[in-house]
Amino acid sequence: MTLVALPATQERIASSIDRTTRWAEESIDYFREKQKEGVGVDQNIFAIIQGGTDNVFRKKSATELCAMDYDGFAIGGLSVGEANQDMYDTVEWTTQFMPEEKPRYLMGVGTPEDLVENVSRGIDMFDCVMPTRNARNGTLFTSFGKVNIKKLEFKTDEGPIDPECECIVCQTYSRSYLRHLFRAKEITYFRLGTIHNLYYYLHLMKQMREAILEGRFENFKSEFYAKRKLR
Amino acid sequence: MEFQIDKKDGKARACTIKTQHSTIKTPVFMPVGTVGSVKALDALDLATFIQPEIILANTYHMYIRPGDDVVAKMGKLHGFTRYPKSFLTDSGGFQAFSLSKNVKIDEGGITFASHVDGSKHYFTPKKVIDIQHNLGSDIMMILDDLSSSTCNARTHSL
Repeated sequence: MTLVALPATQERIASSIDRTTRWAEESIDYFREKQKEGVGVDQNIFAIIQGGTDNVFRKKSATELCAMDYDGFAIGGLSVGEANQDMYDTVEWTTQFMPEEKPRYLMGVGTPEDLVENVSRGIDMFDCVMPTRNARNGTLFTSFGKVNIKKLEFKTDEGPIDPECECIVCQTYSRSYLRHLFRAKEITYFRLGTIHNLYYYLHLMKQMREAILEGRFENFKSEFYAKRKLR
Repeated sequence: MEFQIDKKDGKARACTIKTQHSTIKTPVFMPVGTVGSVKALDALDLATFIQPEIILANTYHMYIRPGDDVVAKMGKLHGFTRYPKSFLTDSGGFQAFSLSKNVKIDEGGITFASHVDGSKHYFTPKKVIDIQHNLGSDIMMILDDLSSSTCNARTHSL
């Protein structure tokens, strides 16, 4: 990520939070009014909590927005260059002011580790360009951490990207072939790398869901980190 | 939209979200389909190899090109892209802030110049809802003022 977060002044943050709340009031009124006219009846609308990594501002923004008739709520303005722990702390703090009975969406996040950490803090939805963009740059995700496919060590490696992965790419192609396609800048590489990385991300979410359903999320989390130390 | 919590484990939640177009089991990761395609893949690849129940499209990009009026005419996002499951669209504010030039924010909205042809545009809370009505996303996002967390988001290349 290259987004640079510059510390905004307190005053500027305060006025921006107020503006976000005013816009949110205007938005929900307009959206519900349109629905009464028959427009967007099957559509849903989420508001976005702002406030940087400041607890006071996050609480204010969350409290004001969550009082409105939205279908779900997002936490925005994170993953913009702040330290990981600051992101986790902000999410942990902010979710307590968000309703239980509506979806919680953390925008623009993140690495596999970020997903695990924020699910454990009560987030339901994520999006990020990381799996797709990294695939195109040659960075592939595995159960054992990231792999850079262009490395010399994969020149004649017959193994799959991730021996634990069940995606079509890992079932079919060797690291050696993928490395070759990447180095040759073949269009096919972009497709295969993207399929693998997205499969990995969606599979990780499935594993987390199963762990939650079976009441063993903390165990899952420990195993997730243990495997990444093996490499 | 129907929402139900299936199970909680500590603070972690497994939920089910039902939209008009799909049933989404959470926690969920939404692949980013910036301009109406997940880069390098098409709807068939997605359906065959990844099977996401929800993907994201960027309002800013669809508005700038091909235009939300075009998307609306072509059957909205689902008809245009042929991806039949749910779409979430962002408000476009983030890209207006980060991608375009000459960004100005006032009480009414955000003024910016298109990164494609430099043309001037003005996003207001109502305007981005109108655009997202045209896009037909299952979940839309409201316009927010991002300047509290990112004074300068210009170097982001989403």
